[in-house]
Amino acid sequence: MKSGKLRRAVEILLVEDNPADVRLTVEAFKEGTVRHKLSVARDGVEALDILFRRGIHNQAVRPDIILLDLNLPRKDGREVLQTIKVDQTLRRIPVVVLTTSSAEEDILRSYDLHVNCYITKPVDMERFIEVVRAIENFWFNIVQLPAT
Amino acid sequence: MNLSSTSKDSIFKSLLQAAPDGVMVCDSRGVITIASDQCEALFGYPLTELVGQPIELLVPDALKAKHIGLRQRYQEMPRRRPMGSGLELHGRRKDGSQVPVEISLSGCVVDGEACVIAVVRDVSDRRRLESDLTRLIEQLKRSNGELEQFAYIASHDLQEPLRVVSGYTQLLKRRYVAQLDAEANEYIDYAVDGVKRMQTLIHDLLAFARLSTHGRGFQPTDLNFLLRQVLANLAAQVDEAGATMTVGELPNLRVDASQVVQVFQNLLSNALKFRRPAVPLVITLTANRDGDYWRFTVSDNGIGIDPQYSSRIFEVFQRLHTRDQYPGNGIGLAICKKVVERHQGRIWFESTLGEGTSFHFTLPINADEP
Repeated sequence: MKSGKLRRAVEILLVEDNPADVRLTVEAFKEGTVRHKLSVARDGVEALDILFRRGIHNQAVRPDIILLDLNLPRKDGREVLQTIKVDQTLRRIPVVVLTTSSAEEDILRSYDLHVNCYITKPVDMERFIEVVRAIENFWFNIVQLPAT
Repeated sequence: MNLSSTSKDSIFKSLLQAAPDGVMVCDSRGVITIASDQCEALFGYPLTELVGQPIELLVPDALKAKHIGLRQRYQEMPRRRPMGSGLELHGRRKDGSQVPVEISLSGCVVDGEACVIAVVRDVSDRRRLESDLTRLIEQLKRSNGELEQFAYIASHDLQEPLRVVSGYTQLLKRRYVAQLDAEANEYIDYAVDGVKRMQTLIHDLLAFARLSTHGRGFQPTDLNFLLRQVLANLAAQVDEAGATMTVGELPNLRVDASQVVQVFQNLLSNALKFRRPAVPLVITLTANRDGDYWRFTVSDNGIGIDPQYSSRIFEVFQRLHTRDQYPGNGIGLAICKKVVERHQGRIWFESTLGEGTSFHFTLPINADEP
């Protein structure tokens, strides 16, 4: 496939433990315009199993983008980010930290670990839908992604 | 003054007994030849059991052998100095217990023999205070750590459930607006409003907690420059209030600029907010040198503050008006107070209800780093 505009559905991996939050993000993406498939990892270990196609996830599709929460059970988002960004292949996948935290230490830590961007989830649903649209527009319409 | 040798002898003895520290003289072989009364209390030996004994009697067992060598070396080059500087020294008492001491040494020659004078001070009290202090500092560090942990929990973990509540309530409205009547929509708006307010409260509390945990060091700062930033931030409110602002010349001071900005911002925005509708608003900011401090005054001709609330207004989340009258969370003055006190200053106000208010705060010319 040529880099740039994707003809197939965009593969999104959402790493988020709280089902209510997962659903909100799913609903926000439904209001967007980009054809997508959204898979969910409920903690850091599952996220890495999917990315490394381990165990029951050996057929997993490599995502085009990862939306990562920071505070997760078992292995937290910072460790997941670090593992992704030192891996030769995985590190090319854009990682967007999507979290409720606006703590400066979380922001600095994430960029130190080479996150592609850090977004604090707005409380307001309208704003959140705007943010999701902006993510879609930027990462799937504007940015050149590496060919998979 | 020419003193007889008997007078000199008497003065010497009185001096020896008047000294608050234990004083001993040892001969060239390290034998105690003179010991002052204080040595009895210090080491638990009657003076008769000290004089004539080697000084090593008073040295902890583990150091006895080493002490003989050190003592001999000192006698080759005696000069006044503290013993074992930088080390924690201990004396051995008669009952075998150890007492923390400081020892000052000097040499003297008696009848052609090189002797050593040792002045011994009991520092148990000071050591105890030092260790109390170290323990308190440890406790303080731990509780500061817990506070930061709490602040993080507030910023992240408490926000999450709130976001879920507001997200789904709004989603409900978004997707089901056609099926809901006006009243249902109103309920939803109230719910969303409540959540948003809760969020600002958490945010403000966090900002307040961080004043002490995330404060920066004090840097020389041109307060005129800080004030220009504040005035730029408030430009819209100044315009809207039609306020006349008069600002005096401000000094350069060593401050945490990121925090002092908040003091000016909060005081000025209060002056803008609590204005009288029918009276053109006039706000003045002045700075005056007052001894070792600069005193800053923000005066307005606004609604004033009822003196009965004077003790409450600097507390967190204390408000004197409903949100409909004047919006806000009641954190601004609490932040001002904490910042001013962190800079070792003071904040207070004078007010006449219905006529206006003057807030004063002081900042020291030389603030110690917090």
